[in-house]
Amino acid sequence: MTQKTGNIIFSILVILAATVLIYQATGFRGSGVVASSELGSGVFPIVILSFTIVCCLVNIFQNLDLKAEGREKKKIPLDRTQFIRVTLVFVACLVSYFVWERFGFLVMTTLFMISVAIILGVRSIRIWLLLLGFGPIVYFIFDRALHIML
Amino acid sequence: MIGGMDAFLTALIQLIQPTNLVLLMAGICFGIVIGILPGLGPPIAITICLPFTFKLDIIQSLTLLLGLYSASIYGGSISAITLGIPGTGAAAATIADGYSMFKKNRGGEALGYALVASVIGGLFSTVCLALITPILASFAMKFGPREYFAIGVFGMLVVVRVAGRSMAKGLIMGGIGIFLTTLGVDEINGNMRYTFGSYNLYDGIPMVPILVGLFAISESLTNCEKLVAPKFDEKSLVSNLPSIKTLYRLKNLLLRSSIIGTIIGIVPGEGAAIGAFFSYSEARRKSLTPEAFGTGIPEGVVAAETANNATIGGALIPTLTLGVPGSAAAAVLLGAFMIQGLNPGPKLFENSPEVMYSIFIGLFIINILMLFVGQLTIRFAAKIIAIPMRVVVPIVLLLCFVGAYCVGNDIFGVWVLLWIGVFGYIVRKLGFPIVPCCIGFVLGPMIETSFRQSIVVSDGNIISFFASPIAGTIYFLLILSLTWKYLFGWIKGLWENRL
Repeated sequence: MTQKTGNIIFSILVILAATVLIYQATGFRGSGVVASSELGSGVFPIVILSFTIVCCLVNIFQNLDLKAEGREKKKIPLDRTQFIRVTLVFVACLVSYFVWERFGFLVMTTLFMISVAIILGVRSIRIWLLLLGFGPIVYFIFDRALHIML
Repeated sequence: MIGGMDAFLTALIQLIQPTNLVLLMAGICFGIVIGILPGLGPPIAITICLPFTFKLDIIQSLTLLLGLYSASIYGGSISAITLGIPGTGAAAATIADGYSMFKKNRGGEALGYALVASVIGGLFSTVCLALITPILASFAMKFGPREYFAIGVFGMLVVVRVAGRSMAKGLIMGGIGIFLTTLGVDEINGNMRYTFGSYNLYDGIPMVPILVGLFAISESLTNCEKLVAPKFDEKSLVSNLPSIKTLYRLKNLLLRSSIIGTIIGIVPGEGAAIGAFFSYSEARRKSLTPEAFGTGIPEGVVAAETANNATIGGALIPTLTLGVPGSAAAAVLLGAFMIQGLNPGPKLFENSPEVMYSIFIGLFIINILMLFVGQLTIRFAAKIIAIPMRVVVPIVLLLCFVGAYCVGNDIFGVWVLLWIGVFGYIVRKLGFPIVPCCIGFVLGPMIETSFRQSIVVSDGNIISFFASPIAGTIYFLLILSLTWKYLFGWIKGLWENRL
């Protein structure tokens, strides 16, 4: 995907989201009995979202500008292997969130470190031991030393 | 002296306690390590260590975080000089001459100049911070809603202008950052906004997950792409400090770079990188041998490193007195202050003078200690640089999870962290700057509150926003900063036509 396409898609998505949020903001309750000149709760979000929509339109226009040199061909700097690796790491993070919620920090950190080490291709035993030991060390520091329950 | 001698002595006595000195040293060591590792920088150093400060008192937290901040900016110069890869953006200007000196087997000399220059720049800006902050704080006591709104707008637009090539992209990110602060209960009316039926959003989106997600998670995901560790010759890593005579010869350069760095640091969003480049280009312009810059001369290293550490004190001036962060790292520090129950602003000096003095004295001690700790750390720099990303990425990610969780002891923070992190990663890939989003999130509440209060005060009259002389001056400076290039070109053209 080129930068141009990515920017246009992103800007359109922001415009759509902002439009929905503006519609929601029109339904916020007003200021009530306070000074008549006071703004309701929805005014500021509407102003900011409208401003963002205008900026997105400018961004789309700038990307559609055919005179812009190089922008047509400039690709997003990410190849297939990198994309897969990054996606898998993010999925590991998401799964870890659910594991932490249900099974606790120690189980989460063990599974998380194992999965990320596999995704990133860790082969050294020393690094494996370091990563597996890091979670319990953090747990000990926070739970015992700082008295923050994880 | 604001707060009296008592506040100053209280701060000094607390700082020289063994616990605080140990925290200072720990902050400096860890900051240098983070600074050395390419891809991590001061905002990430501070966000990673934030959870460790929750159980510390305010002065202990500040000493740790300020040590991290100062040392990580210096640490970036070590990999810039030895590898030609800046450990932090602030060290990018050091590469030109620092790496060239390293290739000529003068690496020890370059490292020594970088260390001493960083310390001198840091000390100079600390003195400026101590002198300017009380004056600005007492002036800022006269500020009302219109002035704060003007400052908020000024801070946002200046950040957007310098954050990237496209102002539209910067404004989009700034708008998103400000919008995110409108989630939750409206503090003025008590109405619910954008909670989507979730009680987690009643208090709005927590700050730490946003900051950590935008900087650390997005950077870690970026680091997952390339896992090759850089290689270099370890034996050349010995620091040789310059003599007093040499430093005296460079006194004008050191002074000019310190002033440039401090002033650049004061302007919101103009971080250490810009200070370093600006100082470097000025040094080259004023030099009798400008063609020598870039070939490996100490002046190039000194100009860049003095300025980038001088931005630290400068950035803290608007952060502490106005609550407007002078840099991305200062924005994260601002978050740390708020977590500790402090509200940076003009009243901070009045309400907590010992905290302000502890910042001034702490920074002074940090810069002195950095001279010794820096030399020791350079010996281990080879091993630090060789740490593969396969180790750094999972460790940083785990610390980010812990940090986001610890803020409210709520796993919702981790959920926010992950989605903001992937959002930050995607927008960086598309060429959007993330700093405006961060600054927008920090300034959003101030901008909204002051905007709505101004409307009430002026009874709905928008023109009165500009009626205040202070606000009018700020808007004038804003327009000047946005248009000075065009104005300068026009004036230059007129002058040349006259000649």
